[in-house]
Amino acid sequence: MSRFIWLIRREIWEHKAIWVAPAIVLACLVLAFMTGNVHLGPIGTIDAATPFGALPLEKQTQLLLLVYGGLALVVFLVMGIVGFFYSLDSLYADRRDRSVLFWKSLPLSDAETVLSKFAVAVVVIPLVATVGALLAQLMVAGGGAAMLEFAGVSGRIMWQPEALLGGMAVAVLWCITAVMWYSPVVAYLMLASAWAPKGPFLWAVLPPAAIGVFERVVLGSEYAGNFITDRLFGLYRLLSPDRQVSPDAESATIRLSDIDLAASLREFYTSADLWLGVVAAGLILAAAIWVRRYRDETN
Amino acid sequence: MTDLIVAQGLSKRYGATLALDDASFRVGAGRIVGLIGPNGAGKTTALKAVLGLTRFSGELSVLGLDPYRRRHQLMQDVCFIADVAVLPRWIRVRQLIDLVAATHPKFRRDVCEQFLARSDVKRDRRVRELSKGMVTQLHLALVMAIDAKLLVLDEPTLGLDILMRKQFYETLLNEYFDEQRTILVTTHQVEEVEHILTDLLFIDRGRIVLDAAMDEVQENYAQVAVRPEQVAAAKAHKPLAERQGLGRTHMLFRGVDRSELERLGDVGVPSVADLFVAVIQGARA
Repeated sequence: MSRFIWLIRREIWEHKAIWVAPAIVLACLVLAFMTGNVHLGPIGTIDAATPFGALPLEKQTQLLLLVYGGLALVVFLVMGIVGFFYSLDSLYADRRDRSVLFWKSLPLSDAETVLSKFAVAVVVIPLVATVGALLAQLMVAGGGAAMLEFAGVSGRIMWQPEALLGGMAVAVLWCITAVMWYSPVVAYLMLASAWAPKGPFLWAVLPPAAIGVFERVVLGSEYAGNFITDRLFGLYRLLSPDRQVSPDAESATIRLSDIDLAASLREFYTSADLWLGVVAAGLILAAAIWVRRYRDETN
Repeated sequence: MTDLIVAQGLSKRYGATLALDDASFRVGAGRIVGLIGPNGAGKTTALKAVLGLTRFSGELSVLGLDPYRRRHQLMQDVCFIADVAVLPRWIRVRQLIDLVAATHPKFRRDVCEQFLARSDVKRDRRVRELSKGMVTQLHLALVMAIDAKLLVLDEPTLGLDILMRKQFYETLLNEYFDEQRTILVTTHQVEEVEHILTDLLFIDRGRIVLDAAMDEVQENYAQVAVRPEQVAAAKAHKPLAERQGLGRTHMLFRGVDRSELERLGDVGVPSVADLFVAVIQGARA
């Protein structure tokens, strides 16, 4: 087991983006506060006479929940990009520079190697993302409170437990759900990475794109296209349009239909799509291990 | 003598080319075997088969295991240096040592540190910041600290200067090699390894064309600097090769009686390079 931890450490040594990317996001937040240039989404600018203070507490809480959720989303998007390129590179980089021959000279099985890289993509990166999201939320809570106090308003609202803890819970739940939803995509990218003779990006992206186009042009149907789009973007059902917010700051009549996270999570966790995806992830990962194991490392 | 490697009818095809063509050989324990052949002869393919990195047909057993199916088990007792470029370039020296120590049960960190102490390799440097010579020293230090039964070297000194190459083999011979260990090495620079080899395996066009211990070679082959008046008599003994020297014709003979050869000129031991050229030409003729 400790060997496995060392393999994961190796990945973190090699791929600095795993912790540099969220650090940059957080640094940007700090910078934004220091320059006073903060727009908290639907709340509007905080320094001016804000309609925010005039809202009932319940609305304020809901708005803050949106702010905190939105922050988490930004961090997750960044980490999603990190995860995408990490997975795509994971089993290709060492083949490109031939160091795969060194790794294969160690008494490590290919399953161990591939699983350690998969673990980085579905455990380490999401963990860093969650910690980053929580830190970002705390920073905005602290910074926002300070700015409100500075403007002569009580900043206590920023620490409102329903908003802050709610926002944190949303972040954690989103992250877990996203990891499960995207696990087959991660496995697929790793398979492409293990298999691609060159340029894994094209080898990963072109085949599904080609299948989609082929189906539309030749067969006139869009099953494959829809299947792929749904896997890539289906997660946004978590932020369903019918639960969208349309803020109207001017009239201070912000209409908020309830953000029913519980319902959308329920929908996700009872859907066959999610669980079939997890099973598919396992199968694709097994294929990636097989390719890594038996790919001829000639040249 | 136990055989560490037994290859029986090894074949490997890449498209239209036959990289290994029914090659059979054995490597005994405690030997230093030079696998020598021209470019594209199948040397690297043979090593890859031995290391479990490539599929092949035929039978191959390394330390009693099928290398292709049991590579990661095999790597407990087999080390290899493919060439100087394969250490990951992003890693720091310290990280690399930590990683090998954590993943290889037979790695002895103190031995590795001892070897490294003699070089200029700094622990906090990344591999990409090291010179080629230093990368080789690092790789060699890592490998020599592993208590392996078989060490496979594929062109280990490629791109190094003469001093480094000499030092590489000296270290290997003086501080690593003993009766418990076996080394299988391929190289183009035959003259640098011929003094340390105990066995020769010549390979050409995927076939083993010579498989002999060094002392057999010295017994059976002779290089004669033939005096001009004896050239005709010498040719009657069917030399494997001949080339013109300063006033003498150098001829390579196999299995000719020594007293007979001494009448023709000065008898010496052929260099591996001369032998190699003669055997390869003979095999192709």
